[in-house]
Amino acid sequence: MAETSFESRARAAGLRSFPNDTAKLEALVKDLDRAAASLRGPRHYAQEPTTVFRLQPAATSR
Amino acid sequence: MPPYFTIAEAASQIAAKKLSPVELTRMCLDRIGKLDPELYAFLLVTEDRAMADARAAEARMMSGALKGKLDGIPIAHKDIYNTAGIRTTAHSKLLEDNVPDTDSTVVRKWAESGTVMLGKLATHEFALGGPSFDLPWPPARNPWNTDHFTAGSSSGTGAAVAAGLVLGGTGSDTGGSIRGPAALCGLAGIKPTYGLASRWGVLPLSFTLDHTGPLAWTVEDCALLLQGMAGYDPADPASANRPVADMTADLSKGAKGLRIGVIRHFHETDHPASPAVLKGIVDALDIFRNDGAEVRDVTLSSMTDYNAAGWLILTTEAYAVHEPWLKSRFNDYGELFRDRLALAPLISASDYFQAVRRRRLLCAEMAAAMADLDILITASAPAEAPKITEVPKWAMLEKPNFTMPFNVTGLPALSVCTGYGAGGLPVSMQIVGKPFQEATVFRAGHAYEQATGWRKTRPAMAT
Repeated sequence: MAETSFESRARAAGLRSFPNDTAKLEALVKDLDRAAASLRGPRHYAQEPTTVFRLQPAATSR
Repeated sequence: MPPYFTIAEAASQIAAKKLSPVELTRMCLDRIGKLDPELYAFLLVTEDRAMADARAAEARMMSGALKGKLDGIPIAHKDIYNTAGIRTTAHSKLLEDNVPDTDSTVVRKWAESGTVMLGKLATHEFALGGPSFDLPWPPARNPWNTDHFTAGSSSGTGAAVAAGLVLGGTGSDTGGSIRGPAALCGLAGIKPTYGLASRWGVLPLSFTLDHTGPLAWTVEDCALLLQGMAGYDPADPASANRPVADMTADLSKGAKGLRIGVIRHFHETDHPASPAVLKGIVDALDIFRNDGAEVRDVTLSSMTDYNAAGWLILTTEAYAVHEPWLKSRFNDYGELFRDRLALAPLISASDYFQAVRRRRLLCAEMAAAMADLDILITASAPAEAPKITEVPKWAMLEKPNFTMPFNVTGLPALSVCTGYGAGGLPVSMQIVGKPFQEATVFRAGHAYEQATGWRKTRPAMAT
């Protein structure tokens, strides 16, 4: 049986095969792919993420 | 069945020495004995600990040394909160025999407030997925109809509080795990502002989306419980180092003067809610208007956009937490958890980071929309609870959830019961506030509850 694109992606990512679960897992992957695609739109190169450092000033010593 | 008490009622009677914490605790334990064989809300009942806590509270009551309104109040913890010397399993075979050395910060704070701990409550495995039937313990059942789902992941807390097995309990909320069970079990449940309540000692799912918070029968009870768990915790890197507001300070102010924004497209078009949910929201807005609030619509990005960013972040971060076990003990997870996380490595690092960048824009958008508003309103859940055997597994974007947008933005969000649908199960709405403005959220929720009679009805099995 030919390998599906989903199975080849899973194999390329080093994931074990899911012989009985392929159909239902494909549905999840479609959802994740759709979510990712919706986030790939154009954005300014300098747009910051929410995860940024906000360091506390160090105490000064005399 | 013995009488039911809200936390506020019980606290008032304990303070007046009219209610014994020992008798109240015995009442709850008896109810657990009668109802939990059908509800499966508890993974562990800590009767000896509860009675010891209750006797200590009673001694304080008799000596006039009560610690506050939570003293002597029976509660229980979602089983992802570490409890020193008491098994903490995350409802998973992986942690079946896990006994932590220390309490999580919230468990410690509630204990120091004098609460009586009755045990550990069911959850979806590691607070993700569910309902699962292949774990060491069965999933919790909805007290309004035990054929139906509680929602999750704080499933045991939802069931236990609705049935009156405890007066309140802890939940955690990464994409809606407090507000979902509150909605489907007919309770009040708040996901506070990110950073208000410590996550230290609570098993993580997604570090940037995880919140701790309470569920209770009423909004006022939620405010009392949140007061007992909020506050800066240096052990939690996300904890906000700022003073904690008085959560009950504004409860009696009513809705007059509140500026309310309705995110109508969330519940009318992005994910059309059931007629009963829609009617509940329309009626609530009428109550607010009649009380002197100003109500207008607001438009945000589609709920799908919020869910896309939220689910990619959640899935990626959760995989990072669970990767070692997924590689070494894959088959010890339940099928639902495995299915949801096993393929997370297919999300690229770039896509994860785009989600985090998008999240910042979504936070800014919501902050701007709220600039001249006090609260936002939308649904908490699309409809009444489905049958526990008919819970859809996927469709996070086709049917985006109503709660994730406020995990993405970190804003405080409260679910309150707005009545009952055609099937006799609860429906609900969500009240969202500005950062650290929980008191305003509680004010609106309490005003609504006081104007309606929904809090007078308990599930039939529990009456």
